[in-house]
Formats: sequence, C-alpha cells, structure tokens
Amino acid sequence: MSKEYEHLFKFVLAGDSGVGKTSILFRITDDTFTETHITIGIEFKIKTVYIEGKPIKLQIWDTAGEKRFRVHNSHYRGCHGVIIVYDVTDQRSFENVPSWIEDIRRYANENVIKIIIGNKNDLVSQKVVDPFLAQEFADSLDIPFKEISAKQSINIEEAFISLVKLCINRIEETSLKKTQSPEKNNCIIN
Amino acid sequence: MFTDRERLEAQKIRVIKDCLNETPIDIEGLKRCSVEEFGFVNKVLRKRIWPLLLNIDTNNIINHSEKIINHKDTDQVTKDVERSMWRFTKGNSQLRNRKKPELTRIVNAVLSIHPQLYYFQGYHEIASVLLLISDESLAFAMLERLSIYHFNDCMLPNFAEVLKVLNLIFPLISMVDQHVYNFIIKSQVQPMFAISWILTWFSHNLDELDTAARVYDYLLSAHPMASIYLSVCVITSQRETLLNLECSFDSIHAFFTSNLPELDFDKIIKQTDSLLEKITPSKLQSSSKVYLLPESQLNRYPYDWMIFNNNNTTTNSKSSKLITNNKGTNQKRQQIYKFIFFILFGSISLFGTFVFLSIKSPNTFKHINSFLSPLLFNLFNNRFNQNNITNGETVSNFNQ
Repeated sequence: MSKEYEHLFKFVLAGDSGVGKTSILFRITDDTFTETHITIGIEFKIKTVYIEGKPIKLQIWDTAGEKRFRVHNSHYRGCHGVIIVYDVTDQRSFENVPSWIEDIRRYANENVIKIIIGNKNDLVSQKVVDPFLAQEFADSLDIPFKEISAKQSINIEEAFISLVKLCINRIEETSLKKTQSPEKNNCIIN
Repeated sequence: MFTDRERLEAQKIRVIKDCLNETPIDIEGLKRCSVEEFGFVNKVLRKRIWPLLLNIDTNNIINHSEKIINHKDTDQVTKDVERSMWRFTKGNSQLRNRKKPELTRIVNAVLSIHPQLYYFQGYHEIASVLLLISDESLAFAMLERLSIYHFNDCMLPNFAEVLKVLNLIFPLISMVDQHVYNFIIKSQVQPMFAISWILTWFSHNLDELDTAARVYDYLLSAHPMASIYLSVCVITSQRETLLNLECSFDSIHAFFTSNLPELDFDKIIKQTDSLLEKITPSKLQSSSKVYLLPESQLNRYPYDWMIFNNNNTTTNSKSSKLITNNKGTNQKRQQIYKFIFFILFGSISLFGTFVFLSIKSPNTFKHINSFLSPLLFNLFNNRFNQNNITNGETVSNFNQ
C-alpha cells in the first residue's frame, strides 16, 4: 500500500498588491502566466512535487495584497512556510517586506520557514531594487533569498524546491531530537 | 420561428415597458420585475432602469472628470484597473482599451469627491459592470450613489463591518438548510470564501457580463443586505455537490473560491427574495447576535432619496401593515389559549390527586370498614394484613 503523498505542506504567499503573488501561484501549479487576476480574500491551489522520488503535496495559499485585507489572518495558522514576495521594479514593495515579516511573526507559528522572493526579474531595464542589498537584508534575518520571474518561469521551481527541502529538514531534525532525548520524550508523555 | 425563450423575453419586455410608461414610472413594479425570470432582459433596458432604481437625476449629472485629484488610493486604482475588465471584454481589446480610461476616471472621481471613502480591491469590478452596461456619466452617478449607501460599510477605514456581514451567512444557512449548516460547521471553514461575493456583488466570480448584469438587476432593486441572502441561496443551491466534498475547511474553501459554475440565477434570485421577505435583516441580526453598527447604511434602508410614488403602492404598504398587525393579534390570542389550557389541566390534575389521596386516607378507610359485608371485609382485611407486614405500629392499633 503506497501513500498518496509523503508530506503535506501548507505555504502562504505574502506581499504587496501587484507584485505577482498570483502569477507565481499559477506558474508553479498550472505552468501558466497571468497578469490579469486580482485576488480578493484568499484562494489556494494544490501542487504535488517529487523530492528524491517521494511525492510531496503542497497547499499554496494566495492572499490579497491590499492592506485592508490584512485584518483577516487565520490563513497563517498551521502554515509551514511563507513566501514573501516583492517586485524588483517597485522599490516600495521591497521596503514593505519588513512589515510582512512582522505580520508573520505575529500570526504564524514561531518556527515557520520563510523565503524572500524578488519577482519580475525579467524586466531588466526597469529593475530598481539592488539584489546585493536584498541579499544582505535577507542574510541579516537568516532568510533565504532568490530573484525570479513568473513570466519567464525563471528560478520559481528552484525556489519552491528549496523551501520544501527546508521543511523536510525541519521535520527530520525534530524527529532526531526526540530520538536523542528519550527522557524528555517520556516527560512530555507524562 | 421564435424560440420559447425569445417569446418569454418579449413578453417580459412588454411588462417592463408597461411599468416605464406609467405616469409616474412604476418603480415598485420594476423592482418586482427584477425578481422574475430574465430580470431587465437586455442592456438597453438596464441602461434606462438602473439609474431609475437609484433615483439618478440624469439631466443634472456633474462633470466628474473635473473633480479628480490625487487621492490616497490613486496608485492602487491604477494597478487594479490595469488588471481589470478582461473577463467581460473577452476578444474585444478595442472595447477594453477604450473603457479602461473611463473606468479610471469614474473610480478616481468618486474617491476624490468623497475622501471619507476608502477604496477596496473589487470596487473597480462594480464600476466595470455599471460602465459596460451604461455610459461613463451614468456609471459615475450610480457608482457614487452605491458607494455612499449600499457599499458604505465596505469603504470604512477597516473591514470590521464586512467581517460582521460575512458572519451573518452561516446563521442564515442554519435557518434554511440544517444539513448544509451542520456540514459547514463540522468542516471549520470560515465564511471568508464569500468575501468577493459581498464586496463585488458576485461580479468578480462570474465569467459573463450578462450573468453579472442579471444579478445586479436584483441587487440594485432589493435591500442592500440582499447580497448576504443571495450568498446563502448560492451555497444551498449547490448542496448536492457540496455534501459530497471531503468535510474539511480547505476543500470547501477551494470549492467556493473558484469561479462559480453555471447556476440558474433566475431561480436562485426568487429563492433569495422569498428568504429576504421571510427573515428580515433586523430579525437575522437579532437571532444570530451579530449586530451591524446602528449608523450602518445597511440598517437605514429604505433611503430617503428613494421614490415611493405610486398610490397603489401606498395602499399595498398599508395592507401589509394591517396583515402584520393581524398576525400579531393572532399570536397573542394563541398565547392566551395556551395559558387557559395549562390552568385548566393543572386544576384537573390537582383535583384528581386530592380525591385519590382522600380515598387512601386511614379515617376514610375505617369509616367504610364498619359498613361492609363479610366478603368485602375479608378483602380489606387481606389488604390490611399486607400493611401489617410493612408497618408495626398499625399492628398495635389493631390489637387494641
């Protein structure tokens, strides 16, 4: 008997309106591109990826980026990873990344895994966010960083695969710690 | 040869034109038409009727372009308009490119004239429907009216009132379909899946402009909270598919946030109107304990700018009130009858108990004993012996 999937991971896409969260979702799940969709409220799609031959099911939640939709935050509950997206052609969307990280700190699990993604990297002539500055900022928070293009399908698969691997490593680390500390384990059970 | 549908539509058009030809125009009659099959049927009639429902003075609409300033949401409007109107102008990029600047102007004009209104994503979708059905000037005037009244609660600084509106959906479902309600509660899904239905009157979720316009026919004619009732009827109309889903919040949320399937909105709108009449918005709020702010525009319908111009309508309103009063009186009488019944039943029960206890009392027993024949004496003696077994004191009395 084989499982339908080895792991189920819930990811949330966060970031300002118009940075391309929905485009990223459509690219990773349907391998299509859209720049005409506006997310109102919360929507999600399912995607199965294979890591070392094992099926991993992803539930990817897409959120409205407009600030007044942030009153609703239950979608962060129980999520394993958050993808914070900014637009490399929009300096303000990058400057708002700390604000999204603050939301995550407030509403998501303490140990949620984060990744910062700069989208629209195909628009070379309009690019304004310095990638070295972004890398430096991400490093200061110990968060992985990648520049991608949903339109050109550049680096997206790599970004999600790295996020999935981080989640798997987290689970394996947790299991290992429990195995190495039988007394603590017993104590927890009691 | 005309199809059945074409004949029915032509018949409906005649009914609508009769209302329009009344002097003054029969607004209440038009509202009733919005509930019946096909609504207002076509674009030409809608362009005429929608402004009437909102009492727009079409001869005195301001030049909205002159009013536009750089307001707090200008950037967001620009982003959203750029991404808008695609579904309703499929295959017609000329129309889309011509309408986008118009859309930008009417949205920015309303937000410039009324700085107390906060833009929300989806607002431009409402404006799109109005614009594609009428023209720029009319669409501006209608959008302004709707923004100050029907959608005012969506345009406050935060979404607290919108969340209350969403939280009215599940209690209303419980009054309509207990199975669907139990299923939804068990799944722990949140009513957030319906937020675009409420914020855009379903236009965000429908693929065809004609369908969106049909929905707007009704929502422009009805109570501003009708979108809640319509949401409930949209949910219950899909009960078979819904109850077959896995009972989990994500499968149900995903089901309702994907684009709506092809639904029979004529039928659903009739159900909605019946439900709205049966359970009023104030009754819904009190029974669910979810109260909108007293100053909410949703609690102030009908609005003072609305026309109630028809004498027949006035008579009908009075008749409705009389009927309501009669219903109240009937309920009071029923309560009195119940009270009387309980009093009588209680009295009879008490009397019966008293009689029974009297028969069993020792004094009565002795009295009867002295008059009974030997046969009956034996019977009671036997009973007395039984008592003897259980009560020693009685034995002493007998011996004495």
